[in-house]
Amino acid sequence: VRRLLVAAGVVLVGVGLRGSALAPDTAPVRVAVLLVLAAVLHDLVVAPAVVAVGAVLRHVPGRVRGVLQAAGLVGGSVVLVAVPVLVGAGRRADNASVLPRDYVRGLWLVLLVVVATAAVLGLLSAVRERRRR
Amino acid sequence: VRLPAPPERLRVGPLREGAFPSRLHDERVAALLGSWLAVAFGICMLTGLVSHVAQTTELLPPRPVQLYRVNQGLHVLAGVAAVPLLLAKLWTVYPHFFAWPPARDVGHALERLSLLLLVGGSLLQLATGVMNVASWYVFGFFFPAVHYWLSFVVIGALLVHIGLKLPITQRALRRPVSAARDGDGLDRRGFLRATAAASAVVVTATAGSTVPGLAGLAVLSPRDPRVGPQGLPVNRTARDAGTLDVGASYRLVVEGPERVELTLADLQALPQTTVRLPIACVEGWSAVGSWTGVRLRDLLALSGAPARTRVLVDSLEVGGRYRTSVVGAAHAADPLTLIALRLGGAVLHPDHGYPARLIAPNRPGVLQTKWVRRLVVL
Repeated sequence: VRRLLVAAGVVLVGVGLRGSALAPDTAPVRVAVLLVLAAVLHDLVVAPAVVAVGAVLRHVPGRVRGVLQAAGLVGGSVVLVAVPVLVGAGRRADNASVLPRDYVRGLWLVLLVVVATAAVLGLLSAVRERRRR
Repeated sequence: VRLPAPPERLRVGPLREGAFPSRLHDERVAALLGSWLAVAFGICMLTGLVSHVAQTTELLPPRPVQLYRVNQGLHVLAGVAAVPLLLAKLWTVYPHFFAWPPARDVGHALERLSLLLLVGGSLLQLATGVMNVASWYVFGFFFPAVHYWLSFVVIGALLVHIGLKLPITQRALRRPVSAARDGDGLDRRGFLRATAAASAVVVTATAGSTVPGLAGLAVLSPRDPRVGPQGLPVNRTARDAGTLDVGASYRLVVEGPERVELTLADLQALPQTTVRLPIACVEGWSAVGSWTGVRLRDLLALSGAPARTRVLVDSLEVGGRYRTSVVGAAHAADPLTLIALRLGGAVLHPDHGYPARLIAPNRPGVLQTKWVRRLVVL
């Protein structure tokens, strides 16, 4: 099975690379540069930044740290996914149906809910633990 | 073939043993996140292939009516859900990025090269996908073509990865997860739950662009199915298309065995049908409208063509990739396929294709050709 998976994978990669290079409208050089750039940006900027935040959080005591970690994970994901609508570069003067919402307000709302939920869950588990003792 | 190890004095910083103390950099966490991610990517690939068939062939049947709509909703939401999963997975295995020696042998070097394709490709697919649904077209290439071909690279590299890691994954998944809290902060279970919660939150904040009833919750979705001319979103406006001025000289030409020219008044005098059909965009939003107009098969009959026939639909648009579309035989014969003149009881807004547009069941939005001027029996 493992050999089959690897072989099928190699074939698919070949098909994809061939298509990316030869099909019309694909700009293969640009795609290749962006692909490597995406990996580099993640491995040398995003991930180290997360590690650094984690290192700072190590100084925060006990349960509060767990709450901050969880809220940071969820909130960070939300911010990242929201970047394109926050930037709003897709807006067009003659089309009000593209990006029709107030996304700054939307983001704050979601973040508020996330932080509040994390805090409540953290409190609940603290209470539960105290009872158990 | 073994490769020579670099000198040990280069092993500094994150390359040192034990540079990553967190207990969350764990085999079992990685295996679980990887499994979830494989499901999300699998959904993206399958729905992506369905969409590709829908966009480039006439193989998609007219029923079920909501198929394409559900397909695209799943595609985009699975992609959005994959963003936190991918980042959490990459973070979990991040210490391996600094493995020492960097490449043990040729096989190991090739594996790491395939991981560059997998990691870079996955990040690029998700990033450009999320940008694309927000109409942020800055990539300098035709997104559908690159998204399609890159998906084979990513899924292929994923199969290679699964094939190589299968024993580790199986071992890790068999191991019971320890619930004991060993120290402060988030434990492994908490980390997995928080990641799942992150996926759930980003999906909830965007799903309303296609799931009925959730539009009010979708505070971060790039579309609101209730917002647009006549309460329905549009992609291409009449100004974009250069079809703002359609005068009394408008004729709909049907080129079948006979050539028929119809004025707008002629069209309005023909038997009218009202259908409730969604506009389902490839970008994952959809909105249902109540469309009134003439059945396509009735127009074909006027020109002496049989109902089951392929039809080229030609638009007044001056240019653009989707100026014309082909309606397959099954869609042409379907009683729900209309050349619509009205939306929600009112005359079509220019942005919705005034004076006449195609609306058909289970068909990508971009192929619901607007500003129709000619129907050519093929």
